[in-house]
Amino acid sequence: MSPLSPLNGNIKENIAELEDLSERYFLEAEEMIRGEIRKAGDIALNLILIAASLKGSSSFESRIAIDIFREAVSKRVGEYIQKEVKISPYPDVAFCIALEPELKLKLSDDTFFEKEGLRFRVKWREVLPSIKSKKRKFTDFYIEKGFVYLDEREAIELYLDRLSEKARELVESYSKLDIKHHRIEGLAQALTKLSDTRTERIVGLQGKQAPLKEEHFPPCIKLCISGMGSGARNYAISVLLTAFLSYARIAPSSNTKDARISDFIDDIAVVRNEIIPIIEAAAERCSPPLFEDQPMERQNVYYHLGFGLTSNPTLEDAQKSSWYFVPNCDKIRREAPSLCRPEKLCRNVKNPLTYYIRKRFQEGGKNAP
Amino acid sequence: MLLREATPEERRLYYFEEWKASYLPDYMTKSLTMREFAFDYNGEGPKDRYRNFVTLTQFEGHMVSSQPYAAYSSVAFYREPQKRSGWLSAELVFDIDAKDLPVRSCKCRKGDVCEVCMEEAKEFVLSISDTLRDIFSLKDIKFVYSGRGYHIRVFDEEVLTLSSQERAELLDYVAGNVVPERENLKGRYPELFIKKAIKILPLFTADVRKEFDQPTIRVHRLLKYLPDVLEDLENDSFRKLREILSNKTYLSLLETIREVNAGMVDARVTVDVKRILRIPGSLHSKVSMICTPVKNLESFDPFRDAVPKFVMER
Repeated sequence: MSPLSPLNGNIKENIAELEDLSERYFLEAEEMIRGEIRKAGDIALNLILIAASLKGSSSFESRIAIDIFREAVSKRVGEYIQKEVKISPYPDVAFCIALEPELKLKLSDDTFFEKEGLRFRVKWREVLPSIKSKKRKFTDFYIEKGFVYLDEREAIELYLDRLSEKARELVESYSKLDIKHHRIEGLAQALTKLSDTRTERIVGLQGKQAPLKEEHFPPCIKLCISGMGSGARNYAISVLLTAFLSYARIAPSSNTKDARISDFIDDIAVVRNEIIPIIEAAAERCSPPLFEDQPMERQNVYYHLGFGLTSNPTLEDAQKSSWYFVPNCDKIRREAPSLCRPEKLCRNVKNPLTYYIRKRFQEGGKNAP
Repeated sequence: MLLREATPEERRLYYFEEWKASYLPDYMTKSLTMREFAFDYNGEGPKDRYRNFVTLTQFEGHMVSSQPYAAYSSVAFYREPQKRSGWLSAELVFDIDAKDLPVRSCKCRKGDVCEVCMEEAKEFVLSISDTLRDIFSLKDIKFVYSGRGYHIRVFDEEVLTLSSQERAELLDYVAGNVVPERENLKGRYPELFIKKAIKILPLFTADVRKEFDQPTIRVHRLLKYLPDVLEDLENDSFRKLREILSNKTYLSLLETIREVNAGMVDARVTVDVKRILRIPGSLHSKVSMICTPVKNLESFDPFRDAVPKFVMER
């Protein structure tokens, strides 16, 4: 059986066949998940992806499986890129061929680019997986006449982004199959165990509910609080400030899209006494004052908190609309450019909430006994 | 020229006597059946949505009989446009509105436009289309005068299926909405950013200071050294700027340039893959101008080429 069969053929038959052939693929996959080895063969890697698919393609387990996969193939990709400096349609990494036959990574043929160390080039659309995963921006690349010119490190990263994207697609396709196999389920459990450990670490890092500390707010939130002019005030108050304050106070470590405020608090007083007064004061400082000018916006604030259109919410209302998450910095910069005045710490964060959590964490570190 | 609202009688005159279905460009007629159409009949917004036309005659009949205050069609192509479902692809669109430009050399009040700021909007449109052509190698680019600004509509195969996020990233590049890394001043994007800075800096005035929260002293200092700074920038260097400004001020100024760049294009239009745009050839009744497809942008003059007959006769 070819090592690539699990990718191409009938998964269920292949798994059975695999089991007959050898136990070692499963053992290799288990060791990989436990972090005991850093390299694994194509079949073991596929088993990990198949196991992740049992938990759903957007699960934390799937993200971890793709990270494991990425790390495992990174060395091979690096070796391939270094070796294949000539244009070659057939990379010698079998798994890469199977996953990514179409990445047209070509040597750039212009001495200027070679001088700059930009030895590879691809059509600009080929970098979309890196853009989609938010790892890179178009502005990070040297683009000319429809081609993106890359140095060796960028070429490797791009290749890995493409492979990760393909691996994600594979997990998604596997998740549509009804795979029942005790060894695969065992691997899935191992992924869940690893995911639990990482989640605990993240929650520990992000902290739990605590009163708001304005001195730790990012510059965009401080601007919202200082009041805005008529162009940006609706977005500043009803969208950004409302989402930021509520998540920062109530659920700083929440990463679920369908969260409800009532999942995190038992008393609406937290909203009424700690969040709304800051929003009211900020709205008052707008020019003209937002709620005087547009009284409906007050209800809109509650709408964005998930209570539906109301002026007097109760916790029972907490599922009447969506609790809007804090928009990412990229989105703020585009939709309300005047709100984004980044400072040093902003350079390393993608969301205002992360800024707040990091500041709070740094403060906690400093004050630690 | 007084850009005043068209009366119902003037709308009637336009659609009965001047407008023809042939005003609709090819890229619209070819995809007529795949687009959603929307109409505003009284100036309160496009409340008649989910419209679809099977033939050009049907569309023509509707325009002439309803004489809409404003008429729109989707940038998206659908399998079932009447339900806005079965999204297939969408044009890539950039919306530059002269009335919303964050810096203008004219004395227009916010929301107003004149020949000067229309020309400045046009220059910005040209710089975006140059970037799309030279950097991204896109070729199928159309321009439409929208009434108070311009739409850039891109039809190249490579862009039609871009997601909202990918469009946003592309916009960041072409608009100059990212401050280049300091250590990476070489490369096409930093060059582009510098070019935009060269255009923007001369427009820095006391008004800009107020709008963008730049302290007076900083602006005055910048204005004093502006010729040197611009000469430096022409040579792809930020040396003079760094010399006259403290590091903090220098970075803050780059942020301001980014902010101005970002304000030049309406990002919401670009990222919305189901957006509706004014139909080329239709009347922008609020200002009594024709939303006009532009063949040669450099020679296009909206105050000559997009004025309906009834305005000439006013």
